[in-house]
Amino acid sequence: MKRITVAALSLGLLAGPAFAHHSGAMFDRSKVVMLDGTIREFGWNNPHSWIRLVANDGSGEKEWTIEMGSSSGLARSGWTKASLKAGDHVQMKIYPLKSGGPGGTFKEVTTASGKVLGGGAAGLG
Amino acid sequence: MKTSPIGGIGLLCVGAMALALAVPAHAASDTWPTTNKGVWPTGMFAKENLAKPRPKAPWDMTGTWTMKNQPETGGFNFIPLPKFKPEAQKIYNDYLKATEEGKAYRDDTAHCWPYGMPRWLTRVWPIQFMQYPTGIVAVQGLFNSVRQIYLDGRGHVDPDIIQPTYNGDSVARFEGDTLVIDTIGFTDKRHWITHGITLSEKLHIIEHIKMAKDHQSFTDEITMIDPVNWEGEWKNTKTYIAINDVDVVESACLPDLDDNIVGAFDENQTK
Repeated sequence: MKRITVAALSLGLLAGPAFAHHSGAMFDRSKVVMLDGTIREFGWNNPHSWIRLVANDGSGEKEWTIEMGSSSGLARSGWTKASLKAGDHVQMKIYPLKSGGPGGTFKEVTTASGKVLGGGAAGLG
Repeated sequence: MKTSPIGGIGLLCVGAMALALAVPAHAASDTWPTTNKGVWPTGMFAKENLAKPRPKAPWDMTGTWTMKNQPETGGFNFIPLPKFKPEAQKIYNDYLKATEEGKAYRDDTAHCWPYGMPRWLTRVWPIQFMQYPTGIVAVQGLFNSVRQIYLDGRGHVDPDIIQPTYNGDSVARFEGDTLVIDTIGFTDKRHWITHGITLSEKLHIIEHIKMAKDHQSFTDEITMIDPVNWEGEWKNTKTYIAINDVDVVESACLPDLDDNIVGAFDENQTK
């Protein structure tokens, strides 16, 4: 099953972006997009980890690029480099690009085993 | 009018006191030792430099620290802003417009250009400081950017040979229990104070660092002067907290990083 849902949330309820190596101007932190799809690649890296996720938003199957925080930060939130692997079916919440393009910054994932992992938001700035 | 020797000394003392009151110790790099042209300073870690007798530093900042996010001083930025000069204001306005349009503005650090000072002070990554009698070496967790802060009494690099850099040339001394760091020699090539705030090679940064009595935090009063881009002194104070369960690890801005970081994709950036 692959679907996309956009839920508008109050800006005030969202944690502000932390500041790191690039601007976060392109992300809309007033919205959460829910994706249901398949992991193509999980990059475990410092300063940024990332996910390539194949999901269908109703207009066809697309590859989404989702930006995350550093591997060291993720590890302290319970992640390992094996938390996601190519082929895993997951549900994911992201803050989307304002442009509407297939990308965003990470909020939360429910892994294939049902485990919920968060704490991987990218540091932006 | 003739002046007696004692009167002359008195006048000299009064004059010196007046000068000391008129010129704050941190006001400009000309209060620092001048560089001896053609004389290379002894290396910070040379045994003869380390062995020289010198007063013991009032405190040691060796450790790993992280900046406390304090919205009242701009968090990871520097608020309030100074009064920009017209060209700098125009650039800042362009940045605001790009942000409204959902794009990053001339985001050079997203493409691996060094972020440099003063952003070096305000990243979410920890900073490791290693203090020696002759200087401080500090490594930022983000891209492992290094500052060398000389405490051995040397002056700034000879202006005839200085290479402008992103972290600048830092010399320091203790004034009482305050560490004063004076930094000049910045490059303006794709180097920003922060998003939309430009800087020139005339940027001069003076830091006043005060350590808490329990050594678990310190404050850094940052004074930025750039007569090309803003009026007067731009001051901001950040607080740093000791973190004892973290080390700085390797962090590199690799050529293929941007291939996977959607925020750095061309379509999300201004040119």
